[in-house]
Amino acid sequence: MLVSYNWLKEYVDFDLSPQELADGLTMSGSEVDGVESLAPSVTGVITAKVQAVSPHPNADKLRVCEVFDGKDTVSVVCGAPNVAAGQIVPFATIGAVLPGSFKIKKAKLRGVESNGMICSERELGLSDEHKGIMVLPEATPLGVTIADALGLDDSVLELEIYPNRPDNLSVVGIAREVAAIADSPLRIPQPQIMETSISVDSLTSVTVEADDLCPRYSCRVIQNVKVGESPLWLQQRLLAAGMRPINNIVDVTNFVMLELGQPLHAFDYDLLAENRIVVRRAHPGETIVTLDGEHRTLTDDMLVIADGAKPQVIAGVMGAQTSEVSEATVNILLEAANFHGPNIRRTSRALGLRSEASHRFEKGLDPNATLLALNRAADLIAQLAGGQVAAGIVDVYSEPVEPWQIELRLDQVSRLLGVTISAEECVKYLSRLQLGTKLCDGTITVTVPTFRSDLEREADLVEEIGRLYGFDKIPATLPAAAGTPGGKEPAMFFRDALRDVLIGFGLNEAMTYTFTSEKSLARFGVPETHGASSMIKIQNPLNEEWSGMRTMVLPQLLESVERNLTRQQEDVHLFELGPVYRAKKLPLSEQPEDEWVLAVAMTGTWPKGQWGRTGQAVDVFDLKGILEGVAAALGIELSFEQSEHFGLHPGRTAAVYCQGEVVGVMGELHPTQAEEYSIPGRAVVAEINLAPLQAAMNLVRRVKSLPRYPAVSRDIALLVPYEVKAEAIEKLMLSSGEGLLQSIELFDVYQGEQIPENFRSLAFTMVFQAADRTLRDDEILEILDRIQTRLDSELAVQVRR
Amino acid sequence: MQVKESALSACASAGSVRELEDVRVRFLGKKGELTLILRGMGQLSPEERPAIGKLVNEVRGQVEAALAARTESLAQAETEARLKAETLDLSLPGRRPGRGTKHPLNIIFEDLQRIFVGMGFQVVEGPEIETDYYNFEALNVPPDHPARDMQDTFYITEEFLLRSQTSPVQIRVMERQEPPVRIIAPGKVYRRDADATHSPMFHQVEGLVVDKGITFGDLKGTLMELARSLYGDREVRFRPSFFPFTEPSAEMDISCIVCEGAGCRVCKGTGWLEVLGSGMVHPRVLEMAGYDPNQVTGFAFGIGLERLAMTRYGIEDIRLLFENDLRFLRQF
Repeated sequence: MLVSYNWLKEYVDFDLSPQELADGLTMSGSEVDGVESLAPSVTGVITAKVQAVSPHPNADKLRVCEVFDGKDTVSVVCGAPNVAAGQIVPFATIGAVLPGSFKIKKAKLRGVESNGMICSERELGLSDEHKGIMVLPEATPLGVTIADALGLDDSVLELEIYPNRPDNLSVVGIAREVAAIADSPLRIPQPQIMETSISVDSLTSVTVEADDLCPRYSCRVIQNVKVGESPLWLQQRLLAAGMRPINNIVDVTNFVMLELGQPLHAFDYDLLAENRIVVRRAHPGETIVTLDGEHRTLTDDMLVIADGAKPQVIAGVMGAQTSEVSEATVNILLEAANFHGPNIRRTSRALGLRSEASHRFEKGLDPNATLLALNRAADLIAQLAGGQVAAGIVDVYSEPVEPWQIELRLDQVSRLLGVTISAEECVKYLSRLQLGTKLCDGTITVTVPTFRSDLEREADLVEEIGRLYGFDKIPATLPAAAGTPGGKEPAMFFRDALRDVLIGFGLNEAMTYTFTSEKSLARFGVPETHGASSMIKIQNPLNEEWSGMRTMVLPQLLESVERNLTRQQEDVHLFELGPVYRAKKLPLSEQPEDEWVLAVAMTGTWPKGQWGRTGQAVDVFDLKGILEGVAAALGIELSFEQSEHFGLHPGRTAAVYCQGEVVGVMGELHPTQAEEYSIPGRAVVAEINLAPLQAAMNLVRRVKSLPRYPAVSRDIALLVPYEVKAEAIEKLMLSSGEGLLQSIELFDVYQGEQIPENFRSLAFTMVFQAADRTLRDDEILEILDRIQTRLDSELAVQVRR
Repeated sequence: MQVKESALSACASAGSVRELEDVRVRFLGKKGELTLILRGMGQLSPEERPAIGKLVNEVRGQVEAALAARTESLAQAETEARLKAETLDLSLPGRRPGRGTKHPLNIIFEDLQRIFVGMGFQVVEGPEIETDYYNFEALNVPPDHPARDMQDTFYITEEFLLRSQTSPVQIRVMERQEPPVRIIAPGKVYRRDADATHSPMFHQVEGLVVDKGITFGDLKGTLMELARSLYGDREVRFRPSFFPFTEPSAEMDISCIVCEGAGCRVCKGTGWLEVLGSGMVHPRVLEMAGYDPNQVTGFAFGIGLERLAMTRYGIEDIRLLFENDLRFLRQF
């Protein structure tokens, strides 16, 4: 909300600069986001009257104007379409400087001398308006600076009003805060109304059919008004608050709303059917054309202010064109009402229609605020539009709200704040906020005025005391030791350990949005029948791309790979540790748990080529090795089984097992998907659930004692039919080793010359060792013989000689 | 003795260990000149023998010594020459193993974990897809409360939503645990907002301390300690604010790390940077979680990790954190 510094001074005296005031408000709980001086950065611009306008002899679009500044008349060439004789305008004299250091000089335009410039709002830096010159109100004095004329010798504070303080959505509300900070009395306007002898009851009636949504409806009738332009001071107030002046009646209602925080509505009395008001729920399907020209269809949970025939206002939100105050209006009905905040909020949201009024009503206003606002506005309309105020107020208020009391135990102040503030001081702060106080036996009985609906219980009062005492004055302490041991959940410990291992291997940690879309899943080839395609959808997503919650991380991670490739980053090795969201049933009826996964995506070279070393294109065995390395570091046993998976190369994919359970998948990206993500070479990916891995983690190991006798190693090359898996050979060899074959390591895979078709050569190094003796050659030969025999008979694998 | 002269000069002129070996063979080898002289001693008269023998042995000794000395100096020279020849240009770049990097948000999160675990906090997590009850109602924000407008929420169904804050974890912890409570709850949160400084998915770390005798002074002390750990010694201020689930509520600002309080673009001219929101736990929140506000008090706070990362690392666009551009990630 924008609040004028000068305007505040009308209600409270204070000796603070705009910046000091802003700091004071901020530190007492009314956050000021900015202070802006209104003074335009111009010099030499004064008010002047356009005396005469004549056509330019040499240009159709230009006019020659005679401009009078109160002393002299000069002639000026002007190109604005709206210039007309009689207007009072901002006039930049010769030597004036406009924003952007634009200096006004004497000039000849198409042969006619021009002694200055008539300015638009944009040329003065006041707004972006530049369709024509700026026209000032008729009453503007001539020859004064534009800053004086527009009341721009002022600063505007931009305040952020918290939703619990609708009373602060007004200048008087802020003035009340200033009064509390500055310890200075508050001056609330006291309207003086001269009523006529005509009773308002003879002119109108109000029926409230929905008092649950309209706790109070107050109105007056003002007759014989003259609708016209508002005086300058009133226009200035509205402009400083960011509102446009319209006419004196509407301007007064807006002014009083800004001043007191109570929205008002003025109807053209004579356009109300039967000249009466009915407050009711809308009939389903009822329509209204609001002031912004839109046709609105209403539902029966929306409140309307109707006349004898049809709705004239969507209550608390916006009026209809049909009873709008216009130049032709003579009599007005002025409304100040109180509405049920949540209902206004729902209506405004349902219609997508927000206004200054709804912004205030939806937070819940003080029902006792209507009369002052009504009288203030009636008073001003009588003064400014010559209206005659009919006698009395129609006031429907069935359950008046009274101030309430809260007991504040003084020891609660120190118990919550941690500082002792004397009873007298507490009373002082509360009174400054216009709260009633009575101190008795360590308890202050606080009477809360109805505009402070946020004060409900003791803690609320402690905050009021604390914020006026000053949070900065409260001494900082540390909580006494609670005896709680610090630590983290095992799942987080596991993730942190896993992250460190992966980073140690040289992978870069990524973080992608957890949103996904059907398109994104389809790109990765997720079949519609697969569980991963049933994403939890967001009702109100920001866009289609982020329309649901991801069921896998890989689609998003691959999009990151793609983005890197388009940015000339060719070696991409990313991993992410993050949650996925899998619904047991859709639509969601049971709260899903976040399931954390590890996703890896790599493409390009690994390791990277450097001078003197050639880079190797990453392949699926690099990825498998990383996973095996992770498993080794965290004491987890993983196994891999040739498998198939959507999105992955059918011959280069393995299911990942941990403790007999499938925990994920790894493999090479399917060529179709590689093309989809514009990956020129091969990419390898993995996605693995973390929970089973965490359960299997074992960081505390028993150490094996180091062997005391030498090991013997033997290399063996085997001719292996293509369908026999390396793993089967290793298993067979180990099981034939009688405990003496300690380890087997593959060191070569070869296909080509000397190897028959449908065969490959696998070469292993075997290490033999006994714990209690040095092995003899004949023992080793015996094992080798047995291995050869079994390989031959069970797997048809021959030893190459 | 001519032989001596020629042996010593041959020694001195030998240019390599190999040439020197030739010298040794020529004089001291089986058919070497000195060896032959010694063998020819038999032809000398017995009177001459001792003197000549002694002389020849002396010469032999001198030649051997000269050979040894020359061998050593030649070997040294050869080593030096080899080392010289092997000199490398060490201004050539080193070969680095691929360096893995941690995501900046996790770097910050781990820092926070360290600080709070050291102060006796437990790190706990809660679900991201939350119920309206835990995200709002239990936090003193009933349906249609205007405070719901403070954050535009993503909804899944009437009942379920993407949590807009990590505060629901407070409630879940209090429901299952008796005081004292000292936790931080990190995690992803969601709000319908996307521009250079707002991300629809972002991260918060929520903190909660509940015990007998916890005061606003304790809140200040704890959070000032956090600010000191994160930002070093700089000015800190607490200003009153509003959150539905705390009363009193306060925001903590630090003096701007760019302009040191003078006012700049980063702090929007105020000289202060908002770091976190906090407050004393609202008595109604304690009640709804089953605690008695007359027995215990507490404070809570929420830190936005993205904002922390942006101020700490000078990141101007929040989207960089989720694009995973390697040129960005490799800077950490």
